Amino acid sequence: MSRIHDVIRRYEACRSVLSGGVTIFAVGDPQGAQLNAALRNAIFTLGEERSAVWDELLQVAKALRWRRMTQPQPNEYQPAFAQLGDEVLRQTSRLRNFVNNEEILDGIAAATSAVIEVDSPVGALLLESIHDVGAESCVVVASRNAARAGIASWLDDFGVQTVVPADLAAISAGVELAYVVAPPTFVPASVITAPATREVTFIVPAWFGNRALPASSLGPHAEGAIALSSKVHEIGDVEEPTNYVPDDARVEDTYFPQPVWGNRTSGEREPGSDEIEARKLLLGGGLALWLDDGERIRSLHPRQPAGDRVGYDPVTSVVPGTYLVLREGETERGAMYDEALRTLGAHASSIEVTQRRWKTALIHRLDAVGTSRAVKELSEGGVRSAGQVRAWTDSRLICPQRDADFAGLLEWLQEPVEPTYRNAITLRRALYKASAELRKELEDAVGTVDLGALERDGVLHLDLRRAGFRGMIVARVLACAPFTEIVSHQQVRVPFADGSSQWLE
Amino acid sequence: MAQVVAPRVLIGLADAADQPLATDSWIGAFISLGARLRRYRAGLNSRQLIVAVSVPRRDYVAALIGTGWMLSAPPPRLEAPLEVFRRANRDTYLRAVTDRMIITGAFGELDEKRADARVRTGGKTLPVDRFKAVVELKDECENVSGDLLAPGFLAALTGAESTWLERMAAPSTDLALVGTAKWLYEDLQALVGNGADENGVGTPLGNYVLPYAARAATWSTPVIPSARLGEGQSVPEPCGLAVLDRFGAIKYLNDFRTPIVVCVIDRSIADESAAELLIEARLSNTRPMSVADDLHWKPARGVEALAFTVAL
Repeated sequence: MSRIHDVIRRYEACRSVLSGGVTIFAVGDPQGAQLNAALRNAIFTLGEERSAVWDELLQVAKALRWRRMTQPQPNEYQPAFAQLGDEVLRQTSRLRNFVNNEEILDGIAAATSAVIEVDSPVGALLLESIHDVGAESCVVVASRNAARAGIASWLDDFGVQTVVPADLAAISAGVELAYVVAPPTFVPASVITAPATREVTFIVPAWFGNRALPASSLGPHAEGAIALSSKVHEIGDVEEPTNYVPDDARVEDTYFPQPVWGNRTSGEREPGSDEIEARKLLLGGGLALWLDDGERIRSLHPRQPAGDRVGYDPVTSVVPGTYLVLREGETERGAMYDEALRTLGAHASSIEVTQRRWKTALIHRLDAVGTSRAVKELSEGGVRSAGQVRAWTDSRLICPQRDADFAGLLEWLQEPVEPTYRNAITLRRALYKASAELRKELEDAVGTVDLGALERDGVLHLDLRRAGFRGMIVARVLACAPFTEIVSHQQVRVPFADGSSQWLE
Repeated sequence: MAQVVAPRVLIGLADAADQPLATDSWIGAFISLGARLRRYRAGLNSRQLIVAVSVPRRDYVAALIGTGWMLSAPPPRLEAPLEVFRRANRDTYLRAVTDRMIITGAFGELDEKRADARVRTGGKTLPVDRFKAVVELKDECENVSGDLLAPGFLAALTGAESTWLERMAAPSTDLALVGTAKWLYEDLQALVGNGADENGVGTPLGNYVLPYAARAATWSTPVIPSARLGEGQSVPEPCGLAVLDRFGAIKYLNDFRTPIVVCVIDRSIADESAAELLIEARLSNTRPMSVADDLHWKPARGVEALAFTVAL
C-alpha cells in the first residue's frame, strides 16, 4: 500500500463513521460500580472543605478506579492493580486513627477488596468482541501508554494489536474496527473525527455515566462540521449500587488522576520587581517547572521526521503531553542570551546600555501604575501582547516578539525609539542565530537517541558537545496547575525535583 | 485567467510512476480551493483572509492547494526573446525556455551576424529562434539547465498549457508553503492526473508549485520549515498565499501579513492546539466568511472549513 492509499482510506473511514456513528458498549461491572459509588459518596459527604488528611487516600483510590476503567485485563495480568488496592487499604486503616468517618472508610475498603478479587467484566467482553470479528480485523486502542502496555501484556497472546491513539496512523489496511478501552471523553477527538477504521466501538464500564463524544475544536464553528452520533448498548449486570449521593448533587469528582494542587498561596498582591506570575507544571521523571507567561519555550515533537523535531511552542499551547526541552540548572534563554552578546563583540556593551535603560523605565512605570493598568493602557495603544508586560522586565527577554508592539511600548514609556529599537532588534537577531545553531545540535542529539523510551518514560537526557549545554533534558508535561503563583525570576523555567506526580500515569 | 477545475473531473494521485492513479473527491476539491482563493484575492483590499481546513490527515493538502493557486495565476506577459537577449549584458541573469529545455544562468553573448542568430546563455549556445520564453532574473544564480517540465493533465484542463513555456520562464512568485519541509517536498513529488483514465500517467505536483530546490532550473515557491519562523525567517515578499501545514506552522499565524493564509489542521494528531488557536484568532476583531457562499467552495465530506477576514 502506498501513502496515497493510506490517506484515502482515512477519508473513507471518516465518511463511514460519519454515516454509521460510533458504538458504545456499556458493560456492567458491579465491583467497579461499588468502588465508584464509595468514592463519590466519600467526596460528597466530606464536602469541599474536607481536611487534607483525606487527600492521599482519595488520590490513590481514584488511581485505582481509573485503572479499573482503562485497564480491564484480568487482575493476574496486572500486579500493580493489586498493589494500588493494597495502598488504598493501608490508607484506610491509617486514617481510622485520625477520623471518625468509619462508614466512608468501610465503603472504600470493601469496594477495594472487591475489585482486587473480581476481574473486570469489561475485559471479558473486550476479548469476546475481538474473537467475534477476528484478531486481524480489529485493533485495541488504549487511552495512554501506561494502559497500552498493561493491556498488551494480556492481548498480545491473542494476536491483536494494542495501540495508543497516536499510533493509529500506522495500522495495517485490513483492520476495519477499533475497540477503544476508555470512555469517549478520555480519548482525543482524533479517535473519532479522524478515525483510522471504518467502525469505532468504545468499551466502557456502565458505571461511568458520561458517554458524550468529544467534538473537534473547529467543529462547532466550521462549515462541513463533523457531527457524530452514537448508539449505546448496555451489556451484563448494569444495575447501580445503592447510592447515597442525590442525583442532582454537584460532586467535585475527577476521574482522570490529578495531582493535589492545593490553593494559591501568593494571595492577591502584585509581583515585586524581581518576581513573576508562573504556573507550576509537573513533568515526567519526577520533575516540576515554574512556567511564566513570557517568551515561547523550546519543545520537541518526537513523531516528526528527523531534523524537524525541535521547535518552539507558545506558552499558551503547553499542555499535558507537550515535550519540553530544558536545561538543567539554568534557563536556555539565559545561556543563549550570554552567547548572543558574546557574538556581538564590541557592540554588545552599548546594546546592554539601551536595553537596561528601557527595562528600568518599564520597572519604574510598573511600580508607579501597577500591572493591570499598564496592560490596559498598552492594549489601548495597540500593543497586542500587552498581557506579557511583566515578563518584559526580565533582562534576558530581549523585547516583545512583534516589532510594532515594541515600538508601541517604547512610545508608552516615552523613551527615545532610536537607538534602543535598533539595538534590541540586533540583539534579537544574534539570539535567533545562536538558537538556530543550538537547534541543529539538539536535532543531531535527538537523532541518536531512542525516542520510544521518551514516550514510555516521559523523560530523557541529552548530551550536547557545546560548552554550557551538556545537561539538557526532554520531559513530558504531565499536568498544569490551574492557578499561578508569584515566584522569583531565577526560579522560572528551571526544572526541579518534585514528588507530586506519584499517582499520575 | 485560467479556469477553475470543474468538480465533475475526477483527479487522481499516485506516489510513484509505476502505480495507478488513486482517486477521491477531496483531491480535486483542494486544487479547486487554491484556484478559488486566487479569484477572491482581488476583492480583499486591505484585509487578510484566513481559511482553516481540518482534514483527517494532512498529506498532500498544502501541495494540492498550492497547485490550484499556481495554475490559476494569470499568464506572464513577456517580451520577445530576441528583445531580452539584445538588452542583456554580462551582469544579466536569464531564464530561457525552449520547447524542450529550461536554461537558467548568466547571459553570455548574442551573435546576430549569422543567418541563424545564436545566443549563449546559462552556459549553452543555441539558435535564438529555439527560445520561446525568456525572462531576466532579479538575482544572480548559477548556470543550471534541465528538461522542460511536463504540463500534464491539469495544465491542459485549466488552460494553463497554452502559456506553459511563459509560466516556466516566469512563474508566479506569490506562494509559500510552511510546515515540515521533508513532508512538503514528498507531497510535491506525488503525481497528479486524470483519475478517470485507467492508463493515466501523473505529473508531479512540483511541476506546478515549483519549489525552491538545489539544481532546479525554474523555481517559485519557498518551502519553509516551521522552526525557521521562530528564528527570524519570514515569508518573502510579495507573497499572496501562505499555506501553514499543521500546528508547527499555524502557531506563527499572528506573524503573517500575507493577504491569504490557509491553515491545514491535521485531525489525526491528538492535539487540539491548532484548532484552538484558530478559534481564538477568529474571536479577535474579525469578520466571518462562508467558504460556500463567499468562496463558492464546497469542502469534501470529512473536511471542516472555517474562514474569516481580519484587518491587516
